[in-house]
Amino acid sequence: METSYCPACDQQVEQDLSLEGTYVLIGCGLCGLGLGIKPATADVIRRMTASESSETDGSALGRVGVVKRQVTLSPAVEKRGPPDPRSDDQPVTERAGLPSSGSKELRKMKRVFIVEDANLLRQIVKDLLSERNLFDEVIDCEDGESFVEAYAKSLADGIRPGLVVLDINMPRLDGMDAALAMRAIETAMDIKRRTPILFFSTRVSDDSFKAFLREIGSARYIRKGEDGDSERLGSRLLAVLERLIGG
Amino acid sequence: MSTQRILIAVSKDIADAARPSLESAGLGVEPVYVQDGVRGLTAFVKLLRVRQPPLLVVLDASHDRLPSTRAARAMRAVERGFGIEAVPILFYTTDAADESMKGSLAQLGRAVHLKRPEDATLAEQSIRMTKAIAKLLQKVRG
Repeated sequence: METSYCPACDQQVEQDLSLEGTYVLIGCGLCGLGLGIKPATADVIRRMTASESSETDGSALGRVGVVKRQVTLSPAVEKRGPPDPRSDDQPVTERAGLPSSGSKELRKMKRVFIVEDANLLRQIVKDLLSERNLFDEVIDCEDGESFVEAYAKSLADGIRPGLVVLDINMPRLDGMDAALAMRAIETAMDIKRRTPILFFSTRVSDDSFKAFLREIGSARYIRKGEDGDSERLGSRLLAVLERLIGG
Repeated sequence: MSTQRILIAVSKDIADAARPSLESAGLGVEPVYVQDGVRGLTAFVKLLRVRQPPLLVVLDASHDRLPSTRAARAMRAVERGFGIEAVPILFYTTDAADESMKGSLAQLGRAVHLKRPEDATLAEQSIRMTKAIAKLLQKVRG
């Protein structure tokens, strides 16, 4: 059996997965996320599930669980309807440690920050999120320094953002420094519940980065992968955000 | 009158060596010591919150987490976010005063760099730092 790894955090696949087309969405034990693994790997898993899932609850698949729900990860994601209420999937938000869709916390998700130095991608993500009405307000920042300023201003104005999507490689102040600064500000302002961070970057998740995520707390990572197409990247990110907040 | 403070985010050895000379210098300020850039930023924001910004921030570059210029950028960003005036910053680092440092100083504004002599003893380094702090405080106080 081929071992599969979460493309978001490189953990081995442990939980449920969903298949459609050439993409596989994986919820892994560490990050609760995961995005389109290679088609060849998807084919292997699809064959495994096709031959075994009709007779088993998935435990026979070893580290790979049973298929529970199909998820499309394509540029047409914005046309997708609401999640199937019959699905028995555990909400990704619970695994990821982020506020679940039904909680009061989620209702407070008024503001999201998109921090990305690639102008086109930033604008696409901002437009997609605005169109989908997932948040009341989408604020975009082109580097870590302008984000820290906007974040401090937001807290000073009494508005605690619901989510921060952070690129890592950025000029002036990179995403990791910005996250450290963010946590320092929260500590100084006695904010007990940390604003969730979703790192969205080309960086490969190694042990030091995983340790960094643990240190930062309430943070998850999605790898951009090698796809340089801003529209596809924006759609992928939107798909994850929709799953995170149950949109 | 509220206590005037300076924030000193430097490595422990320099901080320990500097305490006596700072105390004996009679600067009329209470030093707040922290040992890395993240703690420095936390202490900085705490002081801003209680509307008692430090008179001066001293930063060195040996921190693993948010080294000096990055911590300073974050501090400047917080100042702008809170809408307050920039606090003077003294970089006391072993870095050369090269173009990169000059560029950072120009971007940050109200910031100066003093080279920390690596070959000097800790006592000598701390005295140099204390003298620079005294001089800057004199300027700040007009």
